[in-house]
Amino acid sequence: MTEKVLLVDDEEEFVETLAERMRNRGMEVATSNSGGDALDLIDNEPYDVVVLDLQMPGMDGIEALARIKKRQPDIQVVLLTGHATVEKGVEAMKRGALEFLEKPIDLSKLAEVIHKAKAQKMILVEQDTEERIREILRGKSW
Amino acid sequence: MKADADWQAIAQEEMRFFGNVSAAISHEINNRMAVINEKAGLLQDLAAMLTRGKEIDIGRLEVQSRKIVEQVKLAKLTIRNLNRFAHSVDVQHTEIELAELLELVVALYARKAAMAEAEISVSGSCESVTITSNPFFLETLIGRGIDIALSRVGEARSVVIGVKAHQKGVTVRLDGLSGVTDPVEFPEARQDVPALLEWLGARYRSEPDGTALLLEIPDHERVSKGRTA
Repeated sequence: MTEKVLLVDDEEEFVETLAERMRNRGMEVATSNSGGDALDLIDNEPYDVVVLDLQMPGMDGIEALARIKKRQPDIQVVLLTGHATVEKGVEAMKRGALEFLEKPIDLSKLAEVIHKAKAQKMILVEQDTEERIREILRGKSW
Repeated sequence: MKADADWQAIAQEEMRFFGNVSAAISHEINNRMAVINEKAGLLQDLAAMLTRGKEIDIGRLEVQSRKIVEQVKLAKLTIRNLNRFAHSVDVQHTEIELAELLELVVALYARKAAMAEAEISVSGSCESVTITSNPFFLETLIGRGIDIALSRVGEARSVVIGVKAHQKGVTVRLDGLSGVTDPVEFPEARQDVPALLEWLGARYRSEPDGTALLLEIPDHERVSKGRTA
């Protein structure tokens, strides 16, 4: 099944070129140039994975990550950064990021992470579904 | 003669500024590399598709190649500015055309301004003022002035910087601010560059209506002495 990915980065040339390369590899990719626009897209469309730049004008990647996770806890988020620091990496993981990758991107590594992220999301959705079924069963008198 | 402790304080303020600007510039260069990396990757993808017999519009290859060249030019410009900035510590006492210095500092701050969702530019009516001074001292004070301006930029999200000479020295003026309530000096300047301000006899103040930040450097001669004093 195709991975549905949202790429978020304020550098338009970067995000559009990366999106084209990912589409060439069979992924379904949407793009956004700001954290605010990304949140609007997420509200209207289901995504498996969001790939977010850490440093963006206005809402930065960490804040966008927190808001995405609050709205859609099952979405997996991968953060991109120009210069990874241990502190930022730890903060991103604490806030629920699946991975923290450095730019320039190694696309095969990113694709691998996206496959992993989608698998992780499916597990979470299955667990959620199972829990809901249990709740329904508990609510019945039989 | 300035005490060692004072020089140490000035050196710390300068190093902090140098580090801050270098970090922003390295990020900018890295961004250009990230774009070039993707464009080169896309060209490889297209070449692989051609090899497999898929029809590819040659125009796409041309567009991507041209965009790589554009990104290299942007990176080169950024590196040239960084190089000029790095070399400004070479001399402690030299003739400086202030409008040129402002252009350099504004270019170095382009990314910071973008991150603050603002624009910064040198005024079209900027006077040509040449002073003899320490370029790195001035870059530090102007840069810190831009930091303050960006943190208090008005609704138009645009800071315009210019310079004027007067009998007692020069004034660098940053317009486009709002909500500046401290009429005399800015607390962050006292925190960031106190030793440098004291040594140059300079100060930041605001216009009474709070829309502009003024950096007053009152005594060229003292500035011009720099570390040789």
